[in-house]
Amino acid sequence: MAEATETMEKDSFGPAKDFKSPRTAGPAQPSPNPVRLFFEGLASLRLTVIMLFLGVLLVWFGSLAQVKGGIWHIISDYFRSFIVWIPLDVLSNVLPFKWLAGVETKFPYPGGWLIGAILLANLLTAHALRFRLRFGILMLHSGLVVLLISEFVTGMYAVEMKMEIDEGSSASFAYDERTPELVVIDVTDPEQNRVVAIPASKIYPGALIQDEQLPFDIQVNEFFDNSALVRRSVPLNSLGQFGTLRSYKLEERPVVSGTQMNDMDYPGALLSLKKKDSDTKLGDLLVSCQLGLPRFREWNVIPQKKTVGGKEYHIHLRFKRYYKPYRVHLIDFKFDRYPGTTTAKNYSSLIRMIDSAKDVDREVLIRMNHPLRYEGETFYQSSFKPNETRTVLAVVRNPGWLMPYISCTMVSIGLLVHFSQSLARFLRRELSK
Amino acid sequence: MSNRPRRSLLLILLASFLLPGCAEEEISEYQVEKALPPYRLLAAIFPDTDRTWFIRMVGPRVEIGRSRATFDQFVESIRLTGKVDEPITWTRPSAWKKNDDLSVGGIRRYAAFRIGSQDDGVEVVITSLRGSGGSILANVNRYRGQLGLQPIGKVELSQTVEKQDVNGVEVTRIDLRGDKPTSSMPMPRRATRASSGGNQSNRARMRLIFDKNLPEGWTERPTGREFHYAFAIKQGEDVASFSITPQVMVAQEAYQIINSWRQQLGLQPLGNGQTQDGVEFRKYASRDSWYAHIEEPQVGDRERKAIVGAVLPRRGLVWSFRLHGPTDIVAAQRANFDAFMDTVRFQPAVATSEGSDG
Repeated sequence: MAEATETMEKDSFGPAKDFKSPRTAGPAQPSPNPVRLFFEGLASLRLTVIMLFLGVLLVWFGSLAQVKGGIWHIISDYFRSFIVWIPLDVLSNVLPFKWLAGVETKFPYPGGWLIGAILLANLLTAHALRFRLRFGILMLHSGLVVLLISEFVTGMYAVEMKMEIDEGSSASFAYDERTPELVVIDVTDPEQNRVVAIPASKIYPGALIQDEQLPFDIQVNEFFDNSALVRRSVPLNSLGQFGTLRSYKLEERPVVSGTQMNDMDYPGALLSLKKKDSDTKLGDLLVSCQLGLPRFREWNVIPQKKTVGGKEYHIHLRFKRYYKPYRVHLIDFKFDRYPGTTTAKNYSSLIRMIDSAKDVDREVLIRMNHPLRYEGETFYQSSFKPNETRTVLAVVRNPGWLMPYISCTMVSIGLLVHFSQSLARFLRRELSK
Repeated sequence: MSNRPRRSLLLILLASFLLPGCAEEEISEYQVEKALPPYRLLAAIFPDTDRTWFIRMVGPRVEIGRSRATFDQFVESIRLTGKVDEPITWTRPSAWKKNDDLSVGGIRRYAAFRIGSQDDGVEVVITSLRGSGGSILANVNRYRGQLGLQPIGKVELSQTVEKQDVNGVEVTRIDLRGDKPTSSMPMPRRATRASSGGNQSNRARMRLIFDKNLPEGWTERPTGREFHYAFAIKQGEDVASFSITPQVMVAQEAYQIINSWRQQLGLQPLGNGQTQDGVEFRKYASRDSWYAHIEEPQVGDRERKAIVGAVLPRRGLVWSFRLHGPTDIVAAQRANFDAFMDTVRFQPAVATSEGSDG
């Protein structure tokens, strides 16, 4: 036993000097403090292994669910959540469980953030209670902590946006094509629009959206994560319905897998507008992110508007917009091909970055693998429109983008130091024999 | 460091990262500057007994906005007299100058007025068409096309136009905004044809420029609807032709033009991405372009034909430059073709009206 204890003390994973595990404690010890017991459990290696196993299973469940669900929905539901309700149906993709197809029963399972949080807590408490302070191990584990935190920061704060610009035009906003928002726009002012933006989390079937900033209450009758606008053979001509709803109906579509470049979900909703704090209906309308597509883009074609209190309001469901304090002007988009072929050689956008507040006005060439970084955002050449006069830039804001690099560096240094020390100890032992 | 502060510090650190996860997004309010299309069109349609009158003002949105009130007054001053010699009267605002150029693009205008300078002002045009002049929907869609907007249906029409009683006549008022720089300024015919390939505004913005000092033996000849420019090339008694044609086509499909040339000369088309002798990649007008020199295979004693051509994708249009004729002339004119192509460039077109005035 003494020999075993000595070995553990030499090992970095051995108990800290001021902490005696129940196994090494003598029988004369007083009854353990429950708080201490809790932290001991939290610091245990057993918990680490269980969490890692649950993590592996979560990745497996997530991969199975992706067969039918969109990649971004799965990331959100399975990996960036605390609890996930997994339908048994996902297991039907595995041969022995074919019979589970169509079973709607769900079971709760720890989500990615819960597993990550427990692992983080496990690591921190283990350092507080169990590990000896050695530079290599400290650096290695600090790197892991940074990595766990970086995923949390990315999940919480990173935004991937798109910015579309025509040659000769400027753009001052980008949109997140994975997140819808319902907007009510007061267009009365000839110079400015007053926009009230309702986040996606508040738009679900049966929701009644009330807010003092809104001129009316909004009842959400239907909401589809993906939908298509289908032209009506006979247009509606009822006073109770207005806007696109008169000419189009909304049909639900399965969410796309998200693995194809142009795969996109177009959320849509059927709404009823009501007088504030009343059941008096002002009208029904249809809103859809599809109305932002070029063929529907001219929203003034089919006005989605309602006049309340002498003010005209436009109502749209659109991809969430992020307005920028600067403008990006597209001078030229180029699509170079290899000689004599139509094979793509290079895509590039020559832009002008104009930020009056910071006295910035410069030309930048954004091309493949040569992004522009500005104000904490990175602009990548993402796509273009078929006539090659409109570029699509991916705009990524991720406050934690450096953290994985820092983490890898720390882990590498930690491993190097730790194994160098182990090697040195081994060599010393061998030489002393 | 003792263990107690170390533990506390770590636990606080842990809790601080879990707390932000509890935040929920709220309804927000903000103001943004209006991003309106840069061009605007105001129109009024007056039905008369035997014809229909169209009063139209189009130009930059800001300019039109400034002149809106004056335009409304002008429309309200219009009277249909029923007389043969003066079927329509109006009160011209003092700031408007009469424009005597009443024939543009083959369209006869009844009257025209200019507001502002010749270069950057806007024009008010009065035209008439016999009978109803087409339905209101057709005319609204014609105006929408001039602004690069897509056509609408009957359901949307009622929400796009307004009716107004003007001196006993039910007038249809139209107010449209769009991206296409339509103007009633007279346009060079060829630039007009270049823009007629489609209704996309970007497509209409480029104009072909080249050195007008043509090589010896080259003479410009009248063009039909098929070509943008056409030239006859005489060498002795033989004649070759050189034509320039814009087509609405995505750049990726531009190679099909070379295939159509091959087929004209009795050759098999090439697959996408397939290269062959005689087809190469060059830069014209600073753009990646295809260049082809294709010769007809010898069949009996028949004179062989050849094509030297270039295909330039540019802003939604694909421009083809084709020199076609007997093999000898084409070979001899190849240097002239190359010299000509080196002078080719594109510049933004000022306006793109297509003659459907009114």
